[in-house]
Amino acid sequence: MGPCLRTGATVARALNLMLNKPLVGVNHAVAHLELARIMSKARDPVMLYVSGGNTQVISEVDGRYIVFGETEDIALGNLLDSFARTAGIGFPGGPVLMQLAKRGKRLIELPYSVKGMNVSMSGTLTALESLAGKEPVEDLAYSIQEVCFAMLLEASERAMAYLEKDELALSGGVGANTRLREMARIMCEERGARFLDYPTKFYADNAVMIAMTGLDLFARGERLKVEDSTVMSRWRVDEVRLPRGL
Amino acid sequence: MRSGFPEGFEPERMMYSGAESQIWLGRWMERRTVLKLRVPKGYRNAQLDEALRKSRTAGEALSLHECKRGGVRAPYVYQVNPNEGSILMSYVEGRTLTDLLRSGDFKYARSAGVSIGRLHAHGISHGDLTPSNILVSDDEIVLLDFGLSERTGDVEKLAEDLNVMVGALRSLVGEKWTKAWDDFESGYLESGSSSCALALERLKQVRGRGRYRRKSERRSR
Repeated sequence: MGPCLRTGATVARALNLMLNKPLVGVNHAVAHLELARIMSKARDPVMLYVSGGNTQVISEVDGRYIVFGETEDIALGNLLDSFARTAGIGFPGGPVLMQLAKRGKRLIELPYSVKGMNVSMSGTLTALESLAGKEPVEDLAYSIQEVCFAMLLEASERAMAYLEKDELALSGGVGANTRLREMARIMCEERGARFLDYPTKFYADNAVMIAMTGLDLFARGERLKVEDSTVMSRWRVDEVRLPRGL
Repeated sequence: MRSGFPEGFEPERMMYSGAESQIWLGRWMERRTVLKLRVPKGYRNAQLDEALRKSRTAGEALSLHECKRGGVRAPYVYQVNPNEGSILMSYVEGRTLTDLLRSGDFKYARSAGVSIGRLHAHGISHGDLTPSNILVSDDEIVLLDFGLSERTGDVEKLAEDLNVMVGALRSLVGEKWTKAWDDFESGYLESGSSSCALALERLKQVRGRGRYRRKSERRSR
């Protein structure tokens, strides 16, 4: 994802120089979580951040986002896109698979791998790629959603039980999936917790989340010189000081 | 009678409602017993839900039994019903390692490491190795919750246990986690098992990626 970040960074630097506006560095994942926190009106949630490049169960502890669980190999969005390519569906795979899944009826057995609060998706993908073309794509799409979403929610529920937190918010492009949100709602209801949903257009990557987080950082006095600005494609949320408070 | 309770079990109270199961305290055959009940999950496809509850219940009962051959203390199993997702077992009085570490008591980190080392040397991975699943009873370590355990010699699985433990310690006691970990590690290697040495080696390799990375090393313009 370095190339995408570099493109954005180049535009930001150009604007900084052309318009003489201050430059502020924002962590992409933190921006997702900050927007999810505000839009969901959560007080102290466990957050499931699931997109093309990330699958993480995160919560705030002592002014930092801590990753309690995550994928040990590939992100769920990565699995969806890889399978979609094999099945000849195109990019991005998630939305099309969601439509196909509505017509799926039969659960096809797939590897289900939850390890504490972590999950693993690569074995599931391998199994799927060997099934592509042999089983109806609708049933495969349905099974992917049922199996993979259940893995994510089991990991999230474990984090909620472990941290004794009673709010769940989702973020990321895959997080916007209707079935995932429905399952999250049921999981929370069954344990007396609240699933805090918000308009799905704020789930996927958007400019508002970066602008809002950047504004908070700016208010805290953060400034970046062009010559010091870099992209950090492996900058993890737990290495970031949060943009609010101090 | 509530469904899922074995015959003759008199429930006293629900001790804990976790992510996948309810833990009930009660009496059975005039003994204090604990019932672990894997309740159906409404969010999960019913077929998937049943398969998971069944296989985990059976697997857990087997691990609870098998670990004792490796010299690891765990509750005694009285009755198993995979169809109901229930395991009836002995009640063990004690404090969790989470409790003890939170109150600043680090002295059981080493003996916890010894127990996990024996478990791994005996070819069992725990699957959810947090300090909350480690009980200290009469100065002895008792391991709980084998719900995600596997009977395996796979170094990757054993290293995952250690991975979960490191993460839990870091979130529990912050910077002091290294002290608890050093003690845990020395106990863990005590048995001299090659599986343990390999698992620890694997963990250290993994430190180069994922949650262990401390600095953002990869930078580019």
